[in-house]
Amino acid sequence: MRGLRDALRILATGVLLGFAIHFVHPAGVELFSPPPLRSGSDARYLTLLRFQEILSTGRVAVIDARTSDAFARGHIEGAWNLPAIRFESHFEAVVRYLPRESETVIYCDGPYCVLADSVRENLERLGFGNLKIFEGGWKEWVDAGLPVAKGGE
Amino acid sequence: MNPTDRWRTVASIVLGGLFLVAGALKLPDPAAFSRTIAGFDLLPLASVTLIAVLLPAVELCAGAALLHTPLRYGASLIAALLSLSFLVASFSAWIRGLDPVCGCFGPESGRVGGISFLVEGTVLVLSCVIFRGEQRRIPA
Repeated sequence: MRGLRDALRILATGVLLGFAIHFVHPAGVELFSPPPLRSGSDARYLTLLRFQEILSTGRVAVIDARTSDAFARGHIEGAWNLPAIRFESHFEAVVRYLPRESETVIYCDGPYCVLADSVRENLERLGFGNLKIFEGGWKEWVDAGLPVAKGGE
Repeated sequence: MNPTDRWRTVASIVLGGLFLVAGALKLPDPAAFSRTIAGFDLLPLASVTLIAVLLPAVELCAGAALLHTPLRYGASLIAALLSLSFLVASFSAWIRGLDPVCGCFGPESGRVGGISFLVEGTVLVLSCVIFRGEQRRIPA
């Protein structure tokens, strides 16, 4: 009983401290809003508009970091599949399509999925530069009614 | 102080230190931590920022309480519940192939996998051992 009572006191103190810190130093977040997107503050993350501008130059490789199954069900037209969780086994097949000079844009399901970040980290380790992430991902692309393809690798 | 009490004190200091460091590293950037939590795809997005603001402060309080013997009983219960929920969330994300950042020690932590499972499992075991010891020491 005493342990539970103390635990509740510690929890309540933590909650009050959290609110107090937030109100003194809000750090750019709103308590009941989804997490802020990175495309507004970090140049490595692209909005849909910026992604379309880069696509229109034709000098870009697009990487889908989702699983092979998700890719086969539908993907951005012209994208290559390099699943984050099967990176090593798919890398050899995809590497020849990856430009080292021009841009490579990676995407996954949506703004908070991290598979695209995982693929970017792996490619950076292998010496690739100019890597961007389309933050809205597959969900925003489909919602915008843009061209998609099915099947393939 | 008998050897069991001494061992429990050392374990509480280690665990308290871990929670203090974990909370302090998450506290400065709630935006990044909220994206880390969202990456687990377990909670409604509208609740994620609130948790990112409150959780580091709760970890700090639990860590500080673990270092203070009279509060160790309750603090070990919180530590056990927190580490169990981290372990369940990590395992759930891992089996769904989400590959999220662990977020255990701030947004720059490594991804969920062997090391994070080991750390979270060790923290859970330590918390349970301290809790059980305190339960025996303090009559209900």
